[in-house]
Amino acid sequence: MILTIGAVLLFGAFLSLSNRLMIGNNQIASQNEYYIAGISLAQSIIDEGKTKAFDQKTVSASISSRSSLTSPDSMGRDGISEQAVPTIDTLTAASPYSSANKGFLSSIKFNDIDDYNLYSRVVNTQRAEGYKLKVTVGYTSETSPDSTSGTRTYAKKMIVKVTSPYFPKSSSSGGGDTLTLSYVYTY
Amino acid sequence: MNDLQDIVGSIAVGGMVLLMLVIFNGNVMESAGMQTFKTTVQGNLTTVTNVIETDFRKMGYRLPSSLDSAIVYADSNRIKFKTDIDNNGTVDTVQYYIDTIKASLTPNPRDFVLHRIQNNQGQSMMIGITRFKLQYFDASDSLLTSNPVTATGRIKSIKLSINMESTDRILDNRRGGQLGNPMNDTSYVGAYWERTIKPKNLR
Repeated sequence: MILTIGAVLLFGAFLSLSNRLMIGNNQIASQNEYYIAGISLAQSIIDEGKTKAFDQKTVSASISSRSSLTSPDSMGRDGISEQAVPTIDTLTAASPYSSANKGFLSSIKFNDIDDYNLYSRVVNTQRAEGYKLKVTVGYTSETSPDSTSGTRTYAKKMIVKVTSPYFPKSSSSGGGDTLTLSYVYTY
Repeated sequence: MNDLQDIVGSIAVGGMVLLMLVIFNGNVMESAGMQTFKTTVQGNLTTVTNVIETDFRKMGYRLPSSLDSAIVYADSNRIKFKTDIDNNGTVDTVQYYIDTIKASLTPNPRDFVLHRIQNNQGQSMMIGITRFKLQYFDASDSLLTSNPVTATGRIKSIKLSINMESTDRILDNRRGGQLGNPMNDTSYVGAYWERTIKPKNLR
């Protein structure tokens, strides 16, 4: 009798472990979907940056010296128009958009790449909501784009960090995992 | 009497173990099926979006300046544009559109066939696309509402949304198939992708 109970317990433990493994695998496969969507949203911001001028000083003119560029300490929104973009940008129906055609204000208010420094956006997609995108922009070395530069250069690096309530928990921080994409714009 | 109790007891315990095994086997099958479908759908989605992104980014590349716009035709599910796609000095025409003509070849009733036509050479992709929506924006990021777009020269950016589902059900919905499908999950696995593409040569 004791042997039988022991065997059933052992078998139950095996089933429980196997089920947990299967659920874990399924969860990973589902989370991949949210990563794919997160990557596409981050790439949309990077693409948006590609349509902007390299620097406030190059919006309507060209420059021939690095010293003419925006100071590394002054990266960010530099005009009244850019200030109109909310701290956390969301799809809006405000002019020039409409309820039928909502858009992000950054797309029309920002005119150069470093306006995106410290910019945040919240995006809801059809299959998941609450993607948070945080952007930082800084100068980087033209020859070593992985590094950051404290001086003016002809290369600016945009780093987009994406978080989602559907990303798995990070083992190191305990919080949600963060997806990071970066892109270097050159003048 | 004791023998009878032992037999009844062992039949009960054996039955429980057997039931656990059957359910476990069903769970394994369902889980494996679902993962295969998810991997396939996600793989298809990333591949097709890679192809589209590469083509769209090249829109207008090496076009003579006399052409008004690189985009020849644009509506909500069809786009035709010119570009030197293979960088050989000759302008190519690339077209993307969806239709439902061959979609009946897949078990999923909602999917469309995505066509990519390059210089009259077509490729049909029956990979479970259930939504392929194109939206066009001008330089001030205003949506161009006419469908098809009349002044294609105004198009500066394109928003593409794709919904994809598996072409087959996770597990079939026939009674015999339910043995390996204890949750009776007969839905289709899906994934969603959207992207606003701003081709450099349309700026």
